[in-house]
Amino acid sequence: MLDLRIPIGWFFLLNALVLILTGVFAPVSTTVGTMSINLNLWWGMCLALFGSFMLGLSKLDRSAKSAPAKGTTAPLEGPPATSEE
Amino acid sequence: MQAGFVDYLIIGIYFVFVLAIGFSLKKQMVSSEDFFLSGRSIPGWITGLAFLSANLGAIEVMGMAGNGAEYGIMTAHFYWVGAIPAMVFLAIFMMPFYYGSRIKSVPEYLKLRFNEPTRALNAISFAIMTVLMSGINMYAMAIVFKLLLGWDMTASIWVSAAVVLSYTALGGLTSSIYNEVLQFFLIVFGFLPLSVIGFINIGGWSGLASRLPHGFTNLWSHTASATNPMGIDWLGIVSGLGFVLSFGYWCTDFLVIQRALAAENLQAAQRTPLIAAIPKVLFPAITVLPGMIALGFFPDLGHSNDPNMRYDMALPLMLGKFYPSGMLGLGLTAMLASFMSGMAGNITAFNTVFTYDIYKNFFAPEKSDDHYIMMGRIATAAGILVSIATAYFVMGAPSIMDYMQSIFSFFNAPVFATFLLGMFWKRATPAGGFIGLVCGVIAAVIQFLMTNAGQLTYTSPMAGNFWRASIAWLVCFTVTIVVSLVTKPKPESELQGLVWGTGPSTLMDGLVPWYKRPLILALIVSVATLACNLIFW
Repeated sequence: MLDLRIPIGWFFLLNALVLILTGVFAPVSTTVGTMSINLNLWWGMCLALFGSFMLGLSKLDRSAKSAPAKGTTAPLEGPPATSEE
Repeated sequence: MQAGFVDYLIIGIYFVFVLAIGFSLKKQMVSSEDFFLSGRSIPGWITGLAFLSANLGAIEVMGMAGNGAEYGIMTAHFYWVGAIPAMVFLAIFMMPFYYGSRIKSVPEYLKLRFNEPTRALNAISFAIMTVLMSGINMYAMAIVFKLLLGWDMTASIWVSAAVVLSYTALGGLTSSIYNEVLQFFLIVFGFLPLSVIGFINIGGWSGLASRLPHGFTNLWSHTASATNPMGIDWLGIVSGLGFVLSFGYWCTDFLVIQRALAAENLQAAQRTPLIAAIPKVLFPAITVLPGMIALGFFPDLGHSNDPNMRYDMALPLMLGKFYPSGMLGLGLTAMLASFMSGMAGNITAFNTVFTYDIYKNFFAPEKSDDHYIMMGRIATAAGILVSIATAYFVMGAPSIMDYMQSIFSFFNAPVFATFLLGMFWKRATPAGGFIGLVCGVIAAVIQFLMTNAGQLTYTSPMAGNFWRASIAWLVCFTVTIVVSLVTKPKPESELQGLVWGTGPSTLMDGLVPWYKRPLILALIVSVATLACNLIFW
């Protein structure tokens, strides 16, 4: 089954890119309390972090699954992934 | 509000991903179990977030912000009283019967436990309700985007219907579930900055309280009588909302239960509502709070003839006020996603109930598996067409929407009495279940008609919904018991695994790490909910 974390990760990375580019090339400042922040830029970076986190988790899981279990001669590819938690 | 190129780009990216998920799942839809139940193979965190998102349709997201502006923080009762306790109860006590009996739909349980007519009544009313709800969702979306961005309503309806049709017909329940999870994250990331910025700019909690009418920042302090923003006292809240309405919805509505049935094992199914409950506890911060803040910034909200100042527009108004082009696109996409997955959730629940409980059961019992997948796809398309028709129908008479919403709001109430007695009282008989349910539904309809004719009045429309639900529940509960006592029960051998105390022990914990155990999760969620009630007392 398609690992949902992959499309989620790429979706947010792509949106992050759009927001960061908007923030850089067409900066708008939003007043927050006494500060003035470039919302697109900052939130774009947060989305990029989240997207990378999702992709990282997915990659971590796959490399854990493909490693042979200790003391066995299991093949590099694990059993078909039914549980991906 | 003016959406620019960047905003449309973000909306475009969303459409591409949604369709791509549908296409990439198509080849995995081999059997009907894959299509309607995701092959019972989805991890708990995904079914959990989908369980939450299936309920986060348009009416929920915009409506809760609107209610926040209309009733203040008492709207959070819909979460901390009206959702979490029922979700915990579902997980711990009811899920073992739903998941354990290997049913494909909620009406099927009623057939096993009671009889065929009970199932038929529930299946048909559920099927009608879901397509109508999906149509209402579509209409709500079209009207919002017309007011906000001047989009043509016909174009909104047909484009969104085409997208939903593509991904649900291609990837079945899995596609719907995956998109619901994507939507969950979009809603969080799209609306969270809005709450934070709004909250800081209005001057924190004290700034907010000083700008809102009296009683808007207390959950329970003003509920000794009905003189509070919601117009209902604590007894009405606890019995109407906290017990009947919320248990009726969260514990019996196939739209949400279907997500848990897709889980990979019983414990994952039990975890589903509990994992959903964790963000649900916090959700008032991104739905109710922006609505309250909106009232602080736009005191005219709800008190003007301008359609842009209706309570439901609280969230869009906040988006326009605080988000620059770019973030605006993200916020709009989050709204769009909630509309579309609200529709998709209804449609996938509809195609399952229609195919299994109506088509297979009454018209074509012995067909091939491929035949049922094909029928599921046809039902998906037909369901969407009926939804579109409903959307146009509502467009011609907008007040219909309020009627439908209020009748649906208590339609589930009697069903919950049927399930409660069915699952926890061995003596409940097939005849009792059926006659009780019929009487409960009739009681609900009669009250609704009497309210419309002015024969019944309540302190507020909300109070009306709560009390009508309580009465319909009570009628079903009482009639089921009375009829059961004078009719013949099913032999215990036929009730194995369907009723409390017949199957294997259901509270099995262990063999998994503590944070995956249903009982521990249930405890954490309950304590957090209690704390929220006390903090905002």
